[in-house]
Amino acid sequence: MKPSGLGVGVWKLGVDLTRFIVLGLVFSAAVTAQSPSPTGLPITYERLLKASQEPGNWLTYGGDYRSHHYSTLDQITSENVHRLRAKWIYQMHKSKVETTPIVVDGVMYVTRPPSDVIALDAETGRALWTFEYRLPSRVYTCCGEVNRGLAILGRTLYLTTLDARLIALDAETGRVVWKKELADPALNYTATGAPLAVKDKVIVGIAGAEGGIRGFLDAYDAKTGERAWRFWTIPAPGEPGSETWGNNDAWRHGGGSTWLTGSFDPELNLLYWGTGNPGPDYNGDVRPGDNLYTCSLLALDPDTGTLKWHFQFTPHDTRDWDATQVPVLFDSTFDGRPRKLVVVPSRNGFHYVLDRQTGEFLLAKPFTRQTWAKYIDEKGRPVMNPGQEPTPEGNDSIWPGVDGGHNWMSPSYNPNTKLLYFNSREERRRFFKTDAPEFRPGEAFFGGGGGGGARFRPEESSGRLIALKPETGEIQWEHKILAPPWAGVLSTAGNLVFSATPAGNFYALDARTGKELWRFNGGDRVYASPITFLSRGKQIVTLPIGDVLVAFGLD
Amino acid sequence: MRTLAALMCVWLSWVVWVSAQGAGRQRPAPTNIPEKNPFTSPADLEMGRKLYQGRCGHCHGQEGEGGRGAVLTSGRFRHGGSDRELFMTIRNGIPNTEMPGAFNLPEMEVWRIVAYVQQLGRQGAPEPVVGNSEAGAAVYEKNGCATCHTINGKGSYAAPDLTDIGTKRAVRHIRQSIVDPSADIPLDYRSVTVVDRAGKATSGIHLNEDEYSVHLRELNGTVRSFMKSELSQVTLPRQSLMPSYAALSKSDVEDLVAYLSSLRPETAQ
Repeated sequence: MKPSGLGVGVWKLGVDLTRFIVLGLVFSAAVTAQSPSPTGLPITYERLLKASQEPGNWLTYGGDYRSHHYSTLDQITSENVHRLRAKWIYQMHKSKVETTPIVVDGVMYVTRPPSDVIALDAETGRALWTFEYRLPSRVYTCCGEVNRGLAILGRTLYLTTLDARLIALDAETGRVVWKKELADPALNYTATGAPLAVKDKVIVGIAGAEGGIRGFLDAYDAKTGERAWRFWTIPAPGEPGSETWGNNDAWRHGGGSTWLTGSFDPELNLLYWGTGNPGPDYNGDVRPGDNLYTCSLLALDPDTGTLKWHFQFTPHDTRDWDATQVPVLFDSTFDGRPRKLVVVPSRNGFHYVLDRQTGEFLLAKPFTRQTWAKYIDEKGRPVMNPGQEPTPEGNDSIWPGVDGGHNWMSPSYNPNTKLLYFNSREERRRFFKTDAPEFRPGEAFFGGGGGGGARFRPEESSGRLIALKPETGEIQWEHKILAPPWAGVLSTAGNLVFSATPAGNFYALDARTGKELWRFNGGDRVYASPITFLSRGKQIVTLPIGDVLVAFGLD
Repeated sequence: MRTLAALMCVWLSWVVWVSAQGAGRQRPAPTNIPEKNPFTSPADLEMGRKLYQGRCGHCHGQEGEGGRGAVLTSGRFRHGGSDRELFMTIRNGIPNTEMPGAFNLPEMEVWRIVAYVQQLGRQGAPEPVVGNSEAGAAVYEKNGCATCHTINGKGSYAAPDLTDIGTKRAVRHIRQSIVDPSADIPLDYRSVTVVDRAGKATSGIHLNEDEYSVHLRELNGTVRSFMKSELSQVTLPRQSLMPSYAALSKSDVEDLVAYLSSLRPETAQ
């Protein structure tokens, strides 16, 4: 029955209103489906402190301030991981992809070489916005145009660029909020690491030790971009540590970059950050001494940049064994006494355990074949074997190789199994030494080399995913890999460990036994670390394989 | 209202599409490599010599005399002998050969190597051959080398194609490969032996391998794939699949060396 008269007008209005509401709802639903509203913003410092309690998100490079690279998510378990299937892929068309994404409530913020950022719908892998950064025509890099990820604080993402800039981006739109120059890229400064947001500051490392930089670690005001402090990793003459550089100008190009992301202990108010090799890399003649603070772990006050303690893993390094590896923080008992610990599986082939409050050396144990040190003494100083330096004719006898026993790929600490998981590289390379180079803008500052892979049969090199007791360095189990891996490790409350091989095989192991439970051939080398999060309530695992980001979920 | 909603949907789709398109753009690669080497001073040459010996000498010989890599003392460079061409060859490598690119090396150091390689090229002729190449062709025929090798499309592809081996390998390396083939095996021709659970062994040229599978080509050309879970053993012997011909007379060896050394792109049919 149709109404008449005034009633007709009211009825028509009602129909229009209904149409309006229905269309509005349909439109809203369409918008929601295409671009999920980032309701999870802002990411406050308080939320970063409790990042591990937000397993649906992935809020920092290392998963939390302790860099556990671990998730409490347990939808995907050792019982059902065989049902894991590829859900979507995102093509980057740029290599090498070494990035670890940030995920906030269904939106993934991921970097792409050289210094781009893309916001992806984590459910579908479709791009919501893209920030493409145009580099100047020439930037010196030692090791490829890479970027390892972002930091987030409030509604802002923080990106480092290959030409040594720090850029703040609006997380909702990708719009530039501010931009700062960290250092002059013409002097071989570059930046590749993910920053770390701590309180109201953004902590940023620098790269370029292969180009003769003087390294530093910076902190910037997150809102304004004003520099709050700078800690030079190479002391100037007269400063503490300068006596370890001889009486010359070597400190000016002494290296000590800070190209990977550190960790933070809010209770101790200490920032832990690793430093890279001294320069020139392979010719140490011009820099007699230990060359502080290269190849070291620094503990700094994040408010002021004041050095509280340091520990040097490889004094006077001549094999490019940076100590930038991710420091992992956890509390445990050591020698019967409760301790706050920091552990580092070092590029030099030893697993180190330190007291993170005092920097006291507690233990070092080799996890891979190493030939350079007889042993590490009670102070943590290596006692060298003879004949383990680069030579003019080339030295083939040094293990590990230039890429180290471990490198920048993330380790994982699992509080359930109380095991540390990381990939170990078993290989040697040929170290040779040339004359000490002159510093030149745009040129490398090697003084030799550490390659020569063609000399060695491929089967001489291999890899292992190691599960060890981090307090003692005792290996509990290991998973053999055909070639030395470059992938990081993720462990989860689902009793799983995820990692990948250079052949492109992404795999999952039982976290307690190391038994392989699932694998996927991604068809290209992996230079990145897996992460996990929730999308629409379901657990997703992602990993860049080659230049493709792949997301996996249960079928 | 309907029109407005439709317009907004179109606009939103466009924004999403434009954002997505931005994802694929490439930054132009730097070009402008000069024709002439800007680093040719005596100091550059000396630095180039050290770099060469550290990075190149293992294959090309410490004095450019060749080996697994081509002879560099003859001044004949197959991929171009100008400064710029040598720069490109050293920096980018040569596809489908064992010559890798020195991607990480700074340009200045590549130029210094170019300077030293040019100096090597003025050293003069490589090691002379003492045998007779026509007699060597007969030795090649008589010993059935074509059962595994190919020259100008004649023979088998079970072993390396020798059509232009005279350019790729130094005389001494060819000689060594005849009398002691296991001394230096090209990566593409390493052998692999797999043994299945029943104890049956299969050998061939190693084609590919990962943590779970291994792939080989048998000498009869059959390509085989194996899952490692079905194998009891995978070994990569250090021995070449090619037998040693050390039992040949010295003159036969030298004649064969002369024949193989004469095989160059200009003789290819």
